[in-house]
Amino acid sequence: MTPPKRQQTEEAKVKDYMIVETRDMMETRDSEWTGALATKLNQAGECAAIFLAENAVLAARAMADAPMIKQLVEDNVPIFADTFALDERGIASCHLTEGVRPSNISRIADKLIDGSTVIWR
Amino acid sequence: METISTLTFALMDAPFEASRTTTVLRLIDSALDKGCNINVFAYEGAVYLPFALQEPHANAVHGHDVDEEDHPLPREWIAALIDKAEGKGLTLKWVNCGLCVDERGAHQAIAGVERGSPADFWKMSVGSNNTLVVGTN
Amino acid sequence: MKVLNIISCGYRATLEEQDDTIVWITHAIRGAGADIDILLRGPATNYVATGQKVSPISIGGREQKHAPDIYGQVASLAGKEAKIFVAAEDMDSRGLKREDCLPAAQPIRTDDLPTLIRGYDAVWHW
Repeated sequence: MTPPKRQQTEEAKVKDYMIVETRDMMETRDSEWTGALATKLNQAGECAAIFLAENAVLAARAMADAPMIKQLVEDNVPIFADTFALDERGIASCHLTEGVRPSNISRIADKLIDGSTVIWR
Repeated sequence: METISTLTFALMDAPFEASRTTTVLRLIDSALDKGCNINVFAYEGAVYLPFALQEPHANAVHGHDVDEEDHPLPREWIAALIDKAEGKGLTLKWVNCGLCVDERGAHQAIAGVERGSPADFWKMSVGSNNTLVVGTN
Repeated sequence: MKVLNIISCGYRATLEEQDDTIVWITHAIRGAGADIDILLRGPATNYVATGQKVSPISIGGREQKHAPDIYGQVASLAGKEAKIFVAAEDMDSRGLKREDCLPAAQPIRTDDLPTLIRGYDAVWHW
């Protein structure tokens, strides 16, 4: 059996992580864990980003009561929002919280291909 | 020569129950576009995703007969992804957890779906470049 | 490949399944040779609480023979040398005292997660 690419390479100094959050943050307090983990990974010298999909994009609206998103932006955690989910919910790019970037779901595929650790919530 | 990546996905949600199903199928579609081989391990309710007896229905509220409604079925999406993979010279291997199939009576799956166990998931994962687990809530 | 299985969805269909399906698959994968530990968080932190008792349920006269023993499932995993990490803050917020928990359970604070996670090749959040 061929070992995976990640086992063949030496342990990288910085690991890449992408946490995909799909839940409505106003409804699910557990979303705070997603933010805390991304922040702490970055503080620990790793490279973590958040990808908002499905109902999680509701928190990306600039007017949303989503202090965690604003805090993550302040903490320089990269945040992407699935354009499909944004369109589905009528959220235009110009109405996004500053710092949240619209992105195609193919970004997750790219992360998987490059060997990043992708965690789905 | 560019190396072909293999990605493994574990899915748990039953059809028509969660947005995750379509999100992940979109993601798999995207990975095929990027030239990846795909493994899927369907666990628990997800074994019903390729269930062969899924049927489209008319929708009186929409004022549509069965053809007009053209209800999308997960089994059709999965079959289409398997076809797409083959068309690109890639593989999409779909393994249903056998015990999950038994406890649900979900034996009638579309062509191309295999029966397996968590050990197969592990083997697919070890043989892949990356694995994504999409759990349920 | 060293894997950390994270389980947060506690007691999901455990009566119906007669176990926790993710602890179950962790056992199964370990049996296939995986080097795999678990991190319990959210409602699943309660899996390490002692004193969990479930009587077999009977519905319409159809009686269940085997009620789930989640504590036993987790303890058995520890017996196979899997590490059992438990989110410390989630234990605290649920009033779970360390002395009332599975001795093998290792509380871990969110601050320490990066160090923990870094030690694994894969992190699977079920």
